[in-house]
Formats: sequence, structure tokens, C-alpha cells
Amino acid sequence: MTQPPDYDLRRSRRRRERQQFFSYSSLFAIGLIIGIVGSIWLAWRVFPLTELVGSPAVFQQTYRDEYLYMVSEALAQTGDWEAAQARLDLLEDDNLPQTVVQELERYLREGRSAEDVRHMARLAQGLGAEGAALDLFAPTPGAGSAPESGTPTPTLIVVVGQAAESHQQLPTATPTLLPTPTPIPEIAVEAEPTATPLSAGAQLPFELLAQEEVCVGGGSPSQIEVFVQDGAGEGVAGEEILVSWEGGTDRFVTGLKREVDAGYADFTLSAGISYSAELVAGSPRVSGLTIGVCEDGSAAGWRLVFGQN
Amino acid sequence: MQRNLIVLGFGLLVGAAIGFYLGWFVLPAELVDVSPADLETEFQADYLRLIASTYAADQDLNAAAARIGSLGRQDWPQWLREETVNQVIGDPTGAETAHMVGLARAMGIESPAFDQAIPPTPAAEPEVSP
Repeated sequence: MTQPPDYDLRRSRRRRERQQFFSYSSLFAIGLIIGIVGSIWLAWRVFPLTELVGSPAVFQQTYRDEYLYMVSEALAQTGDWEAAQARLDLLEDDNLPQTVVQELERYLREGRSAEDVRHMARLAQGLGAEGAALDLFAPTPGAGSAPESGTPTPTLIVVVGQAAESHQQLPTATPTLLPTPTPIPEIAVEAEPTATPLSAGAQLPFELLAQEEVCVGGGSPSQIEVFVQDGAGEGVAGEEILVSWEGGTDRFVTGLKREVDAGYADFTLSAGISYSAELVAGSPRVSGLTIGVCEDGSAAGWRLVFGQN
Repeated sequence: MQRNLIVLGFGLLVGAAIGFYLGWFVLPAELVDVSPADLETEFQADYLRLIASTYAADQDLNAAAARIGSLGRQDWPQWLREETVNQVIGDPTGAETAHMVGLARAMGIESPAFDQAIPPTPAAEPEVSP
């Protein structure tokens, strides 16, 4: 059976049309993808509709905590409540009093110094916050809800003859002693803020001596085991370790498990979370601490040994 | 060939329209989880004053150095000097001025202007007549 003479011609034309259609579709898809990717990049990086302003409002949680600490210290030093209020406003926290109270409670749990606690309590009190912790540590009422100034305003009794007058002495500033120069620590500037240690390269009080993965058996939880040693290799108790992960931070302290070592502390890891750990006193930050798997299939944690410089 | 270019260009146009719509209205860019290095200049200057006041309180020069480092400024010595001088000029008697001068000097930075910073002095004792 023979095909009509134009049959092959028609088949050939249909094949060409089909190929051309796919060719056009591919070209359109390529253009579409390039257009989407390129314009999203332009919309985010070059022509964002709203100006992207780096302010304390968008700080990482670690830096928000640090910022609150510094504001409380500055308030304690200067007594300038308006400046403190303006700085706190930059955090754009709708629940600021509660945030500061939570920070105060964290200070208490972590055993921060009495001065730090008192300064944070003063800040919370100035914001009108309430709470049991605040009742214990805030300055006694009487001076109003405003924070106590760095310059006390005592009542001065001046006795003139037999008469006694009570004057409210004008607030006076206390001279601030300039600090004595001490050896200047090296400052390491962060090139990539999220990837580089906070104080990498600086003369830190502690250095990382060892980091090893530790297999835990018997269904024990995977932990970050931290050993802090002094220059002689003896365990140092009372050293705080800051552990952070995406969306959270926590602190734990050495010396609570002296049966292991005076400089020992541990923190239980959760699956699927990558942690960073560093000493609050100053040490390199160790990142990427996750639950590992040992050769026998059991879970693994991490052992970090820090030594005093 | 020309028809190919027209199709490609049409794809680009449609893609750009979709991309801008997504980038501006559906998933607009926003800053999150920034560090002090990402702060605007004015906020960095205020952060520096906070560092100085905190240093005045805790006298922890290592912590102050780490905080300055977190600002990510390669020119930090020059910047610290300039900001301190500006602070002295703007408010020579302020407590924060004294803190800034204290921090700068602790970092080994000097300027003749620093001597013009007048630490806040207590008011004179009231005279008491017998």
C-alpha cells in the first residue's frame, strides 16, 4: 500500500510546527524565569518599596538583650530617663515593660550581679512594670515611678538659729572619674556579622582548647558539655555560657555539678536545632553544634574545653 | 530568529511583572535579625554612646572592645575620635561626654578636644549660717 505523495510532506510540516511550538514554549519559559528572578532581586535589593532601616527594632534576640542591658547601665550612670525612654522606643516593643521584667527574671535565674539586677529593675520600674521580682529589687517607692537619678536628691536640713528649714537640694551631678588606661584589647571588626564570631580575634579571656563529638549511650540525652579551666588547668566555677540558636538564647553556668568538675556545665540539645556556644566572659563562639550520630547509631553530643588566656 | 527574540522578550516581560508584584506586595523585603553592624549611622553613633556608658559602669574593656567590634567598622579608631570630639563640642559637661572620653582614652585614642570635656561637678555646698 502506497501513501499519497503529499502525505510525507504533511507529516514533515506537522513535525516542524510541533518542534517550533516547543521551541517557543522553552524560550518563553526561560524568559519568564529570568524575568521573575531578576525582578524579585531588583524589588528587594535595588528598588524596595519601603526603606530598609537597620535599627534596634530588628536586632537579633542576643543583641536586643545586650541593648536592654546597655540602656539600663547607661540610665544608672547618667540618670537620664528621657534618653533611656527614647532608646527603648527604638525597640518598637509593644509589650516593653513585660519584656524588661522577663529580662530581669532571667538575670535573677542566671545569677547576674546585684548591680545588673538593680539597674534592670530600675528600668522596669521606670516603665511602670509590675511583678514579684520587681517588688524585690526595684528602688523603694517614694521618688515616684521615674527611675532614680544617678545623682541623689537628698533632703537637706539647714538649721538657722532655732528655726529649721527643709530644702530640697537641687539635683547635682556626680563627677565621673575617667577610667585608668589599661592595655587596649585588639578589636576584630565583623566582616560578616552573622557568620563571624562576635569578637573573633580579640584578646579574649578564654580560648577554645578542644572541641570533640561525644557519644552518649544508654538513651542519655545529647548535651553540650563545657569544661572551663584556668591557666593551671583547674576547673573554674561560676562561668556563664551563652548558648544561642535560631530564635532563642539561654545561659547556663559552671560549678553546679562539682561531682563531675568544678568547671563543668552541660546543656541538653534538641534534635534538628543548630546551636552556638560561647563564654559570656569572652571566648570564641562555637557554632554548628547539633545532635550527631555515632558509628553504633547512638546519639552524639559535644564536649568543649575552654582555657583561660 | 526575530520571532524567537520576541517570544523570549515577552517571557521576560511577563516574568518581570510577576516578579515585581511578588517582590513588592506579596513578599516585600524586610530586615530581620540584624546585628549592630547593620545599624544606620545615627543608630551606630548612639550605640557607641551606650557602649561608653556601659564601660563607665562595668569597666570591662574587653567587653567594650567586643561591642565596638560588633559594629563592623574598619575605621573605628578614627570614628570613635570623631564621635567623641562631636560629643565634647555638643555637650562638654554631659555625663555621656565623660563616658565617651573615658572609653576613647582607654582605647588609646587622644585629642586635644578631650581636655575640654568638663566632668559634671557637684553643686557648691550651701553655706550654713550659725
